[in-house]
Amino acid sequence: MKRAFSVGLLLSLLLCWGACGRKRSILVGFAGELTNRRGPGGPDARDGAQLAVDAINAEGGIRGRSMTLIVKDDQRDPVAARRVDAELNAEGVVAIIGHLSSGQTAAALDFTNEEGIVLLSPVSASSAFSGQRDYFFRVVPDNALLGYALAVHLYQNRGLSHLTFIYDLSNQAFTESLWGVVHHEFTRFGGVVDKTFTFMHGDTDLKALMARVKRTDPEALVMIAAPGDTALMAQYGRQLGVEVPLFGSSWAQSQDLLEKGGRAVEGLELVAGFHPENPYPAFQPFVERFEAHYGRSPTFSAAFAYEGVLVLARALEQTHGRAEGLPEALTAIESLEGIQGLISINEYGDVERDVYIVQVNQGSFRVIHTLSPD
Amino acid sequence: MVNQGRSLRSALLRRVIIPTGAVMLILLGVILLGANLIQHQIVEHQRVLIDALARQGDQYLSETERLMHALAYTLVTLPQEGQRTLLAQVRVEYAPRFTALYMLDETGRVLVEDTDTFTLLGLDMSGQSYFDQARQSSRVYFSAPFISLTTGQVAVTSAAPVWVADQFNGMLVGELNLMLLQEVIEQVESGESSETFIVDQYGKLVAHPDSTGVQEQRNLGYLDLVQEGLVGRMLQFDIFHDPHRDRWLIGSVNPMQCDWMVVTMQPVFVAARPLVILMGASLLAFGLSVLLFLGGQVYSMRQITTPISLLAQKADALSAGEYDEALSIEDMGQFSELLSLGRSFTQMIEAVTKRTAELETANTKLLQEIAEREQMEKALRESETRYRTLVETSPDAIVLADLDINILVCNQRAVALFGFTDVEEVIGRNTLDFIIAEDHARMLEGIQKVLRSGSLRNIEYTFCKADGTRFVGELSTSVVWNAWEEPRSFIGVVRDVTERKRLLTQVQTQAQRVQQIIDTVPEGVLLLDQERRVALVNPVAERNLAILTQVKVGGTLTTLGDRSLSELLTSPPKGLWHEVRTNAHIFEVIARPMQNEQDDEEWVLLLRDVTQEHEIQRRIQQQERLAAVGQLAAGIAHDFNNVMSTIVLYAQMAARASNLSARDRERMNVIDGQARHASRLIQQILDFSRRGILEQRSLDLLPLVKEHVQILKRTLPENIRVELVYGMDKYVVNADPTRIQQVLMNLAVNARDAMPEGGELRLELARLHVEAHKIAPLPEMTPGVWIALMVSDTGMGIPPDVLPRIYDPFFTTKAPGKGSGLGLSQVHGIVMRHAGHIDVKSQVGKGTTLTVYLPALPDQAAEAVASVPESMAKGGGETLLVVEDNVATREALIEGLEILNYHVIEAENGHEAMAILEQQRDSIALVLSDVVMPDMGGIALLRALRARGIDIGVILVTGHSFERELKDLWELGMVAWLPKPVNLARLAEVVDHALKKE
Repeated sequence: MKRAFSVGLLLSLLLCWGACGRKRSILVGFAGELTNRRGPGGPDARDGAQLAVDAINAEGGIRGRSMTLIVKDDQRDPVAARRVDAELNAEGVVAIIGHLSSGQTAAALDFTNEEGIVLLSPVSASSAFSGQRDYFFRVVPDNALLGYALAVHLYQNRGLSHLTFIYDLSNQAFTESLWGVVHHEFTRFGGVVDKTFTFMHGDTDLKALMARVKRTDPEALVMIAAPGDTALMAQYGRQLGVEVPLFGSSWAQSQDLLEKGGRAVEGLELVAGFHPENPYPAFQPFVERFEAHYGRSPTFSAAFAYEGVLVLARALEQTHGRAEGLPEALTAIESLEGIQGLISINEYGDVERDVYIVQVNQGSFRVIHTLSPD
Repeated sequence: MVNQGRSLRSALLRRVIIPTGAVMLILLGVILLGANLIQHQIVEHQRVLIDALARQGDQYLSETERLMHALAYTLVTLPQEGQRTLLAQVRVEYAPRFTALYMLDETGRVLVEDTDTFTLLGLDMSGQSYFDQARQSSRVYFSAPFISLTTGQVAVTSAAPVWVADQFNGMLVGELNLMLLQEVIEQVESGESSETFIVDQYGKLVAHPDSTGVQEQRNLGYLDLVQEGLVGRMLQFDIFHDPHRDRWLIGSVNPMQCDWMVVTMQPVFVAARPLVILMGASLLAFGLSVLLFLGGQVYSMRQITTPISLLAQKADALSAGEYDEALSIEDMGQFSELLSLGRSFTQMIEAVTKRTAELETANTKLLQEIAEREQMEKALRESETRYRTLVETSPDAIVLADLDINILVCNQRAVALFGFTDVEEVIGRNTLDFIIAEDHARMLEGIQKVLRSGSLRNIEYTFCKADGTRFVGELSTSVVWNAWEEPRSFIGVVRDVTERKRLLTQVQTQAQRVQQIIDTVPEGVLLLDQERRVALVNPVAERNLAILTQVKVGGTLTTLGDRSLSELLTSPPKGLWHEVRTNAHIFEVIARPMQNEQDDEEWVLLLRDVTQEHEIQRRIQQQERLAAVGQLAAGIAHDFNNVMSTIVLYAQMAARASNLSARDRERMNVIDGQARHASRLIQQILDFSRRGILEQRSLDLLPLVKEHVQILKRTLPENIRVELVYGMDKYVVNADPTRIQQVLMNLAVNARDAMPEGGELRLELARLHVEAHKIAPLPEMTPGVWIALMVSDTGMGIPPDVLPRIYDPFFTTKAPGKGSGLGLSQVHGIVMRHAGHIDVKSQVGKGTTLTVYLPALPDQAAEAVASVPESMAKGGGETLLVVEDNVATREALIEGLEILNYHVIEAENGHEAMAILEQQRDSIALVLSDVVMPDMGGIALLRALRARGIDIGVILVTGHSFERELKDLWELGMVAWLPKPVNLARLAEVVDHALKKE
């Protein structure tokens, strides 16, 4: 307050000139749903990615150049997804971290592949993107693994023989892909799928839907939906007297589920790629930093977005901050120290990581089974 | 001089520096004062702004807190319905403050809500973080902002716990709409490029002029200023860096009561803009004063010091002899002393310069004379050397002889030419020694002529060398005159022309051979000179020219056929050749420019008569096209044939049913009639595609055509006159009479249709011999004897654009329904099947002639055409075996045979038939078998039967032609064959005939 204005002014002028003379920053795009009512996944992922960018810059950046994250909101609208990717491309980003749902990723993928832009999704798990040599990369295990793990758990650990599914069509690329894998594996083991219900987030009256579900007298319910919707369906289900085991998808693993679900989600089990109490050494420091910055615990979106930036930064080190050669540099990544474990990207841009069965226990998530990709 | 200058300059500099320093000090003072004022202004502005906003925010939240607290305690005293009504009232009254209000019981379940849609009723809210937080205190709790599920806008949850007698009794929960704060922030005018916003206790945006940031739940906790606020410090006028947007900002922060804070910030450069302007203006003023002082100093120096130092420089130049440099005194200032000094100095230099110039001129003249003399001597020496070199290097022998032609001097070439080795051997000899005796008289005569005329050129003599060998040379002689114009000597130049004469002979021989080649090439070769006159032609070109133009050799060519010459002399648009047409001929022409020695452009033209080639090409293309269409049509026709077989048989059978009404019988007859018509069309297509079944035999065309002419005379309209022309020859061909009748019929019908107003139809038979190497009527006709059948009419003729398509199936120029477009296609197919050819000539308005050429057979007794009996023979209950893979066709055949009073056994293929025949050989009288079946066809069955010694009569039913196998099949014992579609009458006749034969 009391420092002399002219001294401050001269200092800031010098700093600005210093800034002008610095190396040009590496632009990295971020595209995800930031303004939607489906859940806080978008802001979580953005904050995770920004935390990683700040950490990398604090360590000296990439070969002396800082990273700058340009954030765009894809509004959960396929047209907007393509538009924001085009905008980011025009602004000269070397790669895009995003999108945050398989539906949005599917909408943008043709464009990014055509333009040759690396699209590194933290959380899009649909199997539709697996096994393809293109510009799509991810750090989250895909639905083939998640679905198989859930089917094994349902049939073998829980001894279920009949299932009823509910999935959200507003993120069809993810939900239908996971449903397909679980359905296939479960029936292959000998189980029977009694009925599959679908709904559209925001348009469907979930209470009425649960009333229809109750009429089919299900033995167990698998809900592949956003955390808020999963919570509400659980609440309505319990209200209507649907007292059967409930299961969910990795998408639902969020504080939102616990808060909105209350006691109705107690005992709910879901398959996830995220371990909230991961014993890996780098995990707890990450949690602490995230909480210190944002005053809330990190979710799976935040953790995978953070790792997405780490993976991209490693590849950019190899390409000297350029977009050329980025796909090759990404597929060459082997045993990179992430925050949840070592990360290796295979030739198709996918990862194979541990998958967890997580149970809601006294208002928090507890890992009850771990399945390694082997 | 230099010392004086230096002291002058330093004196003037001192005068500048002192006032400049003073101005700078004043300016610095002004800047510091301005900065201080601006800083105070910004601090005050930001402080007032954030204070006001913090107060407003605090007031909004404390009001809410009071309201919630009072409401919660009121609600617990009311019955449930009263609770709902009160909640709804409060929500409406305080709208839009609350987006939802509901009451929880002590377990966290929703007990009452403000609406009657009951979306939340009964839901368990105990998991919500506010539930535990609020329960632990008695105060109203405000959650972190979030995006409302119901409104999509930023909201916080306010929770007011209710404690009755130290017992937790429930909780009033309200979803508090923060739009009010947002609206206030949006209305704040905080200055250019500045942002004023509210963040929560974690740095998350609660309200911001750009609501997108709030919607996106952006966190600004990374800013130093916000972090200071987060730890509870109130800061004013902080300068900090925004690492994400890489810019420097000035801002202030003011914490609110609920741990939120109001922040305002502005880019440093925007805030400090007035100061920058102040500094700029001061610097400008400073710069201007310095310039003014410097200008005055430069002016004084220029007036005194510059002229004096200039004079000193010029004096130095004079002593170094640089008079021009010394003379160039431009400016001596304005003082009279200096000007006078300058003038005297100039006059002195001018006097010195003038004297020096005079001396230099004299010296230059002397040097010039010496140089000219040296130049002349050098030229003389060079001239002599040139001439000597000329003579010595001449390819000709050069000799100088006296008036008695004794050689005085000669060059080395002369020594070599006459076969000597040294010049001395030649000098002194008489010229006649080197010329053969026969030429001596001519030589002496020549010398006299030279003396008279002064010179004589290129007289040819035979010379002999020292060794006696001879050569032919040309001698040119000139007289050398003395000063008194008297002849003094001769100069002779001898050139050996032996090689030249040999080459000339060789060139003449080559020219003759080239002429022979040009004359014998099969294409026309023509040479045009630069005036485009025909300079040369070979015999072919001469013939071609007669066709293409009236111009003869020597005439100027302007056109060839339908093309102008200039067009032909350019590159053709496609390929190498230009196409040139006359009425009856097509030529290909290629032109190539040729440069002759005079650089005139001449042209060689190549002419090819391609009339016949084009005709052959056209016909080949037409044949190929028709063959392709035919193949396609055949495939379709074959399938239709099977279908028609079934329809025809069933229609005929149904028509024979005794209980049929007259009207139904008539309908059945229509079906039969139409099906037969369809069969005929299929037959036409099969004929066109050369797949029809042919029964060829030796046939004399004359009686057949005669009989046909009789029919035509009876059936054609009276205004058409029919005429038959033929000679004494035999017109025997190998042909199927029914097909030839079909050809005649189709051609006659076309002729009739071409003459709606009447005319003449002329049929003509001729026998012609086509010989090798002679032009045939059609290019594809091979040498041999041919029978030509011409059908001519005097009708409207066929337009040239239609002519190439007349054989195309379904192509017709007749009105719809008047013709199928298959007549000529059928004719074409039939003629081709007979290894014949067809030609058409037509002129619009005059008529058309179609000529069919068929290979003639050697004269022999041709068979007469047999007639077909019309009666339908019935069987006597004999057992027949029908072998057919197509179920519908098989059943139709069986039913037909049963109507004809036969007993039928069926088999699906050859193998099945074999098995049946091996067991029931004696009871079966006859086998009817399809030819094409996937599993053992009819022919294979026949062969297998004969191989096993089963000698039973077999009738083959076929939709394909198998004339190549026909002979073998007869030998194997095939008793008859039936073409598809099978007609009941024909079936009855063939089966009856076969049984009788058996």
